[in-house]
Amino acid sequence: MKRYAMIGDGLSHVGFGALAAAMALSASPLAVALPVVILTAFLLLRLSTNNRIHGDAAIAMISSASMAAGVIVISLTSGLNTDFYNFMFGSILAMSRTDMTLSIILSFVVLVLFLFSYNNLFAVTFDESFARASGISAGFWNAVLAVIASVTIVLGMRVMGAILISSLIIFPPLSAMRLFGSFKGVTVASAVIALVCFSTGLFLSYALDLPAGPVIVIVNFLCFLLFSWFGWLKKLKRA
Amino acid sequence: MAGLISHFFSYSFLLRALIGGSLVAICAALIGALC
Repeated sequence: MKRYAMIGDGLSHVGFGALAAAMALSASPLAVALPVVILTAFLLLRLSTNNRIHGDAAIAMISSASMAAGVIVISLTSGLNTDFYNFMFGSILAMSRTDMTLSIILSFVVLVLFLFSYNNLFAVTFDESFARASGISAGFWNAVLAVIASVTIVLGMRVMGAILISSLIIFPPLSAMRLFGSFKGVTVASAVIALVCFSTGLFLSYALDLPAGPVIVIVNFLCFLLFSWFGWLKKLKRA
Repeated sequence: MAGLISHFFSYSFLLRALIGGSLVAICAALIGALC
C-alpha cells in the first residue's frame, strides 16, 4: 500500500549475499544475514525519503549488487552446490525446531504489533504527512516496519528461498485487494489467504512430488486470478 | 485422499514445515499489506 512492494524482493537478494558471506566465513547464517538485511532496509527507506534515488531504482541497484556479490563469494568458496540451491529456492522440508520456534516468536510479535498499534500503522501506511501532523512518529513506525520486514524475509528465505520469498509478501495482499476495500479487510483477508495458499501448496507439493516453494507460488498466483475474477464479477453486479 | 492426509501428518518434518512456514507466510502477508 506504501508502494514499497519490491522491498521484499530487494531485501531477500541482500539476504542471499549475506548468507553467502556467512557460509564463506563459517559464521551463523542468521547472525550475519539479520543485521545486514535490517541495515539495508533502513538504507532503502532513507534513500527513498531523500528522493536522491527513487525507491524502485535504489532497490534494484542494491539487490542486483548483493546478488552478484553473493554468487561471486559462493563460486570462490564452495561452488554452486546444494547450499546455493537451498539459498535460491528454499529448503522448507529441512526446517529445524529452532526455525519453527523463531517463526512462532516472530508471528507473536507481528500479531501483537497489529493488535495494539493498528491505528499508528494505518496512519503511517496511508498518509505519513497526516500521521506526523497527528503526533505519530512516522520515522519510528517505519523503522519498526523495516525491522519486522527484515526478520520475516530472513526467516522466509529458509522456507521459500531468495528468489521466491517476495511472492509471500506480494500475492496475498494483492489478492485481498481485488475483493476488499478497507485496510482491516485487506489485512485480515491477506493473512487468511496466505495460510490457505501455503497449506494447500505444501500439501500439493507432497502429493504430486514437486518442489514446495514453486508450488506455493503457483497456488498463490491461481488464488490471485480467482480473486480477480470475483472482483470483476462484483464490479459487474454493481454496474 | 484420507490416507495421503494421515501419511502427511505422520511426518514430524512436514508438520514443522506446515506450522513454521504458515506462520512466516502470515507474517509476510501482513507486512505486504503495509508495504
